[in-house]
Amino acid sequence: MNIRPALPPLGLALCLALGLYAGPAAAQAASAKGAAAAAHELAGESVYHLQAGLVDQHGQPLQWADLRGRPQLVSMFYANCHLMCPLILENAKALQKQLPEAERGRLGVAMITLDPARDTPEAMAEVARNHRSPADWRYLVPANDDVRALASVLDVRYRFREDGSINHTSVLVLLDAEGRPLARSEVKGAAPDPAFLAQVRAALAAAD
Amino acid sequence: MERKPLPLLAPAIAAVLAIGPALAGAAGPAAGARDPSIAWQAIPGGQFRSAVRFEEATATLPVASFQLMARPVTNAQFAAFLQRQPQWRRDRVPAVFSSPGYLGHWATPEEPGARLDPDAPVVHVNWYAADAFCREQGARLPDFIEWEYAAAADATRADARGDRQWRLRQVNDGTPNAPDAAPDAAPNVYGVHGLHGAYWEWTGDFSSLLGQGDRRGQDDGDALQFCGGSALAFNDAADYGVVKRFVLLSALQPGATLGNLGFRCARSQP
Amino acid sequence: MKNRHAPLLACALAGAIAAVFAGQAIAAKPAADAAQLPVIQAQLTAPPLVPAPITRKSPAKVVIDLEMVEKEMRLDDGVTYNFWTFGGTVPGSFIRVREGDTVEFKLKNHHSSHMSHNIDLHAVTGQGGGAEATFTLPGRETQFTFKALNPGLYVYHCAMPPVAMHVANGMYGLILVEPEEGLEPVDKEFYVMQGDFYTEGENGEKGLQGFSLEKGIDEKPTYVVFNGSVGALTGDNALEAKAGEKIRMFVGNGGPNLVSSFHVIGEIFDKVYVEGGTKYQENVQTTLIPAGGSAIVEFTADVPGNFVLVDHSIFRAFHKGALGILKVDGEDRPEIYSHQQHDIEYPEGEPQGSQYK
Repeated sequence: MNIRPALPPLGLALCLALGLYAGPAAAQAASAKGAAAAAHELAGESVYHLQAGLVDQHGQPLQWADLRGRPQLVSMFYANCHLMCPLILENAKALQKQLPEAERGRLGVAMITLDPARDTPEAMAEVARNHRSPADWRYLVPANDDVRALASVLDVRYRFREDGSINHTSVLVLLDAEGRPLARSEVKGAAPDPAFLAQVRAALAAAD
Repeated sequence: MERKPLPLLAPAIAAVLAIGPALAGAAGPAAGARDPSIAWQAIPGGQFRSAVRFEEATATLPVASFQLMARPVTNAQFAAFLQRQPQWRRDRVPAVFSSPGYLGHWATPEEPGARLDPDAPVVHVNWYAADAFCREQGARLPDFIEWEYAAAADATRADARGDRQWRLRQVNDGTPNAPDAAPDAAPNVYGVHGLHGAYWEWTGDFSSLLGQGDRRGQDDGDALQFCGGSALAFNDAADYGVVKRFVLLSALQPGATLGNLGFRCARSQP
Repeated sequence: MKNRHAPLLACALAGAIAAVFAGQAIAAKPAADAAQLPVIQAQLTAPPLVPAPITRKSPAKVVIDLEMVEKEMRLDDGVTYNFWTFGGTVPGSFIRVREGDTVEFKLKNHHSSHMSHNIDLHAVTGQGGGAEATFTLPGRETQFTFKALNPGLYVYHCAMPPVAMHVANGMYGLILVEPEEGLEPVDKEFYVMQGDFYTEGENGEKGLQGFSLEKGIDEKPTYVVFNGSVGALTGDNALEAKAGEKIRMFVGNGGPNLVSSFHVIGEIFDKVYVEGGTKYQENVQTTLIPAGGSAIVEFTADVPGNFVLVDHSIFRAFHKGALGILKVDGEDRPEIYSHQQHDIEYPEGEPQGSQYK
């Protein structure tokens, strides 16, 4: 009973970290597990307050908040996109290559599909193969209900066109290890923006 | 008794985990969470010619039957929601889902206060909060075209837009002089109140209303800006009610709040 | 032969050398480094006042702070209207900068606005005149910077869709970009801007009047006024000057629809900077001001009297409000204007000039 005064603030913090955003019921158990790993309070600006369950290109389920722990380069795209999306992937690849060998592995890369109805984990795996992206890249398929919320916290705008293609903001978002957005780079070509690269390196140095 | 908080962390976490999902307001809504004061109206679907034209080849789009709340969510209903989901209080919501104006006009973090009408639409709520409220009710925010479809009706006609006089009055939408601004304004033929009222309302897909800040001379979308370009035009330039609403919503950020922006929820038919 | 051409050649050579030096002198004007420009907070004024003439002789960084607010104000006696304004007035605040200035423009949209607004300044060379950079939600501030490349008197207005409605509700004003050499000094400067308004009720119908889109599209205004309301420049609000003073009026036309035939009854414009540009016409009675355009008129108030500003599409002046007064006090000058000299009977007979002879 003596611990009780200490519990409420801690409990409240954990409740906040855990229970904030109503997501699919399946996410709840996994989210509890993920949040248990968080021994300290999640920063208010972190996008990981959003509860969303995703499936990667190997068919493995994970929680959005599982990406917490190292800086992440995140973008949203879709597999059937032949205009900007290949450039987004190439741009991210080129940016990663410009990092020194030692830093490369410390940057997480996550590509999230806007079209979970058609982009199955298998389709994501094929994109990974076609683009020869590094093995530790994650291609993530969210639940249908969660696409809008993920796009909102990442400030990605998108619209489904009648022919099934998608107009969307083509952007690489840099998150710090806690999930706070640090920088954005509008993708206009395959060459990474040098100013954005500098911010990626600064984020990796800070996460040391 | 010595205080050793660290070893006691594990049972603390376990205790919290046990009540965690309940605090989360699980997506399958608990029976006690449904707000009985919310009235739902059925809107039968149909082919609809939106006032907004993207690059579609077809002139009309199908709108599936759905349900819409008869009135916008009120201060009282949102206060009750905060009792059930206190993590959405302005003093507890994390910064990523908030902004300085969020429920700033309420007297306390949990109550609107005596100076606000409990039955007036709640305003200064952002998209995240509105979306969370709707999800708890087993619902969602309406799409822009669903709003437009329901708002095309007047008291007697499902599509009154051919009536120019009726449409011209909608230039005052979003102001106290709006056609449905009065609390006792008649509902439309679906039984829905206040669609052309003094308040704008969030839609679920507001961020899909792709547009640029200066729309003059914007017939060709920049093909790279939104990966494939988006051409947008209004079928009737004189449909100021829809133009104003579209322009306002398309500029919003999900965390934004406005003093005349509220919301209501929609439900898809199974 | 040689003797005759030699002086000519010498002159030509001298001229060429002089030209080279003159060219160098002009080119040697210090290219202003934006980082070293003095920073000036612009003083904006409400109509009919104009900020003081600019006295500095070099570019500066001028900071403009302009707030947009929607407010119900008087349109006519007993008639109000929900105006949308820049700076709380119709027309909006007058902005005065100098050719070559770097202008840092901050635009605020008051929290009580019911929707977003932006600004298009005709003085801006750049996308939308600034409109694409200033899409401002209620309760927020946007900023952009532009260089005032061209001198002249320019209209600014809101360009938020539906654009015509924003302009029709009064969101316009004037920005003056003084030429580098400045304007000639005058005794009085005034800010006058015409606008047409479209109300649901008839002209004169009392109460809060709503905007009539139908009348706007049909271009049939109920009110045509100077400075945002009937009588804004009459009675106690009349413009005032003294006889003998040199007067300059910065006259704009916000529209949204009508062109103005601007005339001051009893005066002749000594100079009209046509359409607010660099060249002037002289000795003009009535000048055309396009919708979304301007003119600068200058004249000396030689004699005292009440000089009536009108849009000479005359029904507008007397039935819709396009009328203002310039009250000039001073000594009569009967050699210029005598007032009435006689009023007598004259013998009856066949009408002179009669066709029926």
